[in-house]
Amino acid sequence: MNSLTIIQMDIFSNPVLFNVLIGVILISVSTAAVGCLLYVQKNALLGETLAHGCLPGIYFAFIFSETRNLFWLSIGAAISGLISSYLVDFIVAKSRLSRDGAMAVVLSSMFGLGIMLLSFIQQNNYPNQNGLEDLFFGNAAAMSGHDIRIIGLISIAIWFLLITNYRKLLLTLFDPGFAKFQGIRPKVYIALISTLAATSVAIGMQTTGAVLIAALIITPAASARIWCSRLFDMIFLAIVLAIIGGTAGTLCSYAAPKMPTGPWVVVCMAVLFLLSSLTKRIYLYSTKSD
Amino acid sequence: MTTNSCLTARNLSFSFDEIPAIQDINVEFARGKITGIMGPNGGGKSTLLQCLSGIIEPQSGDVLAFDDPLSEHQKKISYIPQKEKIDWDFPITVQDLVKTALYQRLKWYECFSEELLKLSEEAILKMGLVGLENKQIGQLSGGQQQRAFLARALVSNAEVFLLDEPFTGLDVKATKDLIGILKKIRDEGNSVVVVHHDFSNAMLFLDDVVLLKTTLLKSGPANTVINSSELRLAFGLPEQE
Repeated sequence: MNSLTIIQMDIFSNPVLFNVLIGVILISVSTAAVGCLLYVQKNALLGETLAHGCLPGIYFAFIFSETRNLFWLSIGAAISGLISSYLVDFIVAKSRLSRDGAMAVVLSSMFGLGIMLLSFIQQNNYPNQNGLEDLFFGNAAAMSGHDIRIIGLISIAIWFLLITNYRKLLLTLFDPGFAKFQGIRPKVYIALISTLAATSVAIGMQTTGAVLIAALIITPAASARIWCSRLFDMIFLAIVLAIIGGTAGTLCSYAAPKMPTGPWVVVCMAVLFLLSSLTKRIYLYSTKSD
Repeated sequence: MTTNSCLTARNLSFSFDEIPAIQDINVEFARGKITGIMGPNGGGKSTLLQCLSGIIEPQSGDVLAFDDPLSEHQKKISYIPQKEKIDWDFPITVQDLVKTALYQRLKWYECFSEELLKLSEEAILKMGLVGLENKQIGQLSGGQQQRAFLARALVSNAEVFLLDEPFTGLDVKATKDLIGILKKIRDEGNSVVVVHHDFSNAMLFLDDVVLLKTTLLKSGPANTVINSSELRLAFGLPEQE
């Protein structure tokens, strides 16, 4: 039997691999779709800010709940991520700092606060604290069936909000002035994008961790934008690429068990980005020479 | 009493960081005409247009549309921003851009009906964009980009078209084409207000001119304002002998 057949059999017989695969796919699909919105908003770095901004919220949630239940940690992460996003807006509005400068300040400050809180938890011997440090680089193998159900439910909520508000989001992102004429309040939908991004980051922390989650958000969107002239097509292609990258990364990490899943997923998505750029160049060259 | 104006500015003022952009502007924009807002750079032309459109709220004064508060006729007004204010890299095609004007008629789960699709096709045809429907907007020429936005305005049943410097970057032919289209829109009974600063072609298509340099300097028929001493003063030009 070759190794591919063994992996195929193991997906269904090995509950750990099955959980990880489903979890990674669910997270990749949500982060890819929300990533497209951030990409066209020219706000790609927000993913990085949210990822680092989520850490204090996760550790605060742990301190108050004294449990590693993904639901509570995700709520803490989403709130903390949103605070980071609003802090960036506040600094930009009230100072002469540029947006990327404000993001750098918030990102590093929140990351520092996260490390401080982790040290506090470790020094005070909180129960159930094992694995909290994994949130820096992720540990997909630690995902339980319960975690997958929570990720699934939150993903459904993200998708429901995305689908029901798609046209309003598109109009807000493209032409907020015209959106206002149409009775849409752009500020509400900009806030919705930040909320969806913070929530996607929150559920993805377990897989890739704070350091790498931004890659899950932006890489599929960037790969898809190379080929698509419509936002809808871009989101669809980003999802397909995210599923391929997520699945390939998970299976690679399973085949090389001493290496973590998150970095494998990120590397596979980066390879897809390179292939996407390369094939587009070849396509343009061949159509030009015709 | 009803007037013959599509838009009226009453004591309109707006400042950026306490520096006044427009101050105490009182002016009426006539229905069924093309009116140019002209004046030197930094004279508040775009700010006035944005206040008229409702995109920005004036800090004092108000805007009337068809003699009523602006909010009552907001959907009859279409605003096309300056070229550099639009993200031309955004993944949206001409067809999708035009369709955005129809979003308000649909619930989130509804698809475009045959009737709505026909509306957008007609606007695309009218603006001479047939064959370019599936092009991403950044791939169009400057003139085509303006026409794509005008097609969207037509689909939204606008009666007042506000355009901020629509001729920027257009070559002679595209400028001539766009002037033809604006005249056609006016001849169908609509009103057009254009921020414009090229005096060489202003008389070709502007019926009225509003001359602005933070405060209102002069308004009236194009030939009167363009040949006035106020205009020469606004631009620091020597008096005509």
